[in-house]
Amino acid sequence: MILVRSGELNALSPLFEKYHLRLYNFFLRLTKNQSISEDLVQSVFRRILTYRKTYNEQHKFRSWMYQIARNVHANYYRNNKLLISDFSEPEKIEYETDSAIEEMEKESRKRILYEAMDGLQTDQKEIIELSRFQGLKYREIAEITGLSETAVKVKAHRAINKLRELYFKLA
Amino acid sequence: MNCKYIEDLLIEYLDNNLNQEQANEVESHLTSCENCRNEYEHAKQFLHMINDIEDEQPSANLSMKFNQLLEEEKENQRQESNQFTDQKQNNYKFGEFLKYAAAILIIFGVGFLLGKNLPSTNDQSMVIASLQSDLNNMKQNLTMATLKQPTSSQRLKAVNILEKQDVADDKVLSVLVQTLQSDANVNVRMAAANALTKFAQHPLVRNAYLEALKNQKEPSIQITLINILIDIQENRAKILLEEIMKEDKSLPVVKEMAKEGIKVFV
Repeated sequence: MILVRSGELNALSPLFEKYHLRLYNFFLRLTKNQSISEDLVQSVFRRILTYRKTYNEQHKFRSWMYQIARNVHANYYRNNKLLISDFSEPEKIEYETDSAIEEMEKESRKRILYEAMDGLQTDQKEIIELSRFQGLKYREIAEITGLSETAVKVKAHRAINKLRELYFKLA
Repeated sequence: MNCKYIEDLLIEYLDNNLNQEQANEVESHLTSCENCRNEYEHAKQFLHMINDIEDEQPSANLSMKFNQLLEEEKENQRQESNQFTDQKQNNYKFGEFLKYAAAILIIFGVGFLLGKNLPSTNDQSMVIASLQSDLNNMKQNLTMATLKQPTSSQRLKAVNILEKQDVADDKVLSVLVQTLQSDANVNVRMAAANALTKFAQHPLVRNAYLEALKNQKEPSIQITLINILIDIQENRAKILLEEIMKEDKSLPVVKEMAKEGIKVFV
């Protein structure tokens, strides 16, 4: 990212390669809409380019990126509060699997989980997303959200327990 | 043992985030309490299930649009920099150089990760620290190597990168000083002069300014140097300024500046 800041824009490509899938799924789980998620990923990278000069290498690129992603999502959420999410069946990749049943079970678990996530508040969803799906450390989430590490931990615990409760109600 | 307390620790336990003492507490409680054992199995399955969720693939549009965005931004950048003369070609060459730099950084990054995974925790921080300092040195060396590039804008960029460093060792300073004294391009020399102001307390730097004022005849750099010397209150500049006053070839503007300067150093 330091290279990008100094004007070497091509250096952004590897970062895009590395993170776009994760970001896309980040937005997908929050918005339940594929084309919106693609647009939001695009917005994140547009902002990264626009604000590249403000990047401070004392922070990890990843934290900075998620900060931007959160803002992008918050903006989107504010502007589309009334919009009902329309979660169409995600385009499935064709797997060469030995067991189709196993795949189907996986899919159905996933759908139930996503449904359960709908029962969470937005900030809880976000914290599950960051701590579980994106695999960030509490310390990093604290940096991204501006909360203390302890607060993040407590929130994450509550969110995961709530999610589990909701999940087993649905399953 | 309090079940509620153990329950609160379960998730951290499953994530391997507890210290040894807490982990032992959880383990010994689990062997004795069936309720918590069930709870533990439950939580374990659930976390496992979450971790098992596979990512969806975005459509090919996403990458395409990104590349479009990048191209547009590069086009913008090019238009901005076209005011400078030979930028375009240099951008390319500088890019080549940065590719090598990036490759080296990646190698170190991998080394760093490997270092992280070493089992002995004591050596670990040592390894990381030494890798990090190697990395910094490497960055610095690469930047300094750029100062030997044939085109002025590349050297200018390198000076700007060095300028951003908060602490400079003697090596960086001497490279900048050398650039100030002998770079073929006046703009690069000027940038070096400005970059050095941050370290103006260093005797090496002060001497370099005096030396440069003595030898350099371009009015623009003379003016820059006089301003800097006044700013840093370098009294030894007085004699040099008097010489500039006497010199017939000096431009009137420069003479004027020198006169002002002499007044400051009474």
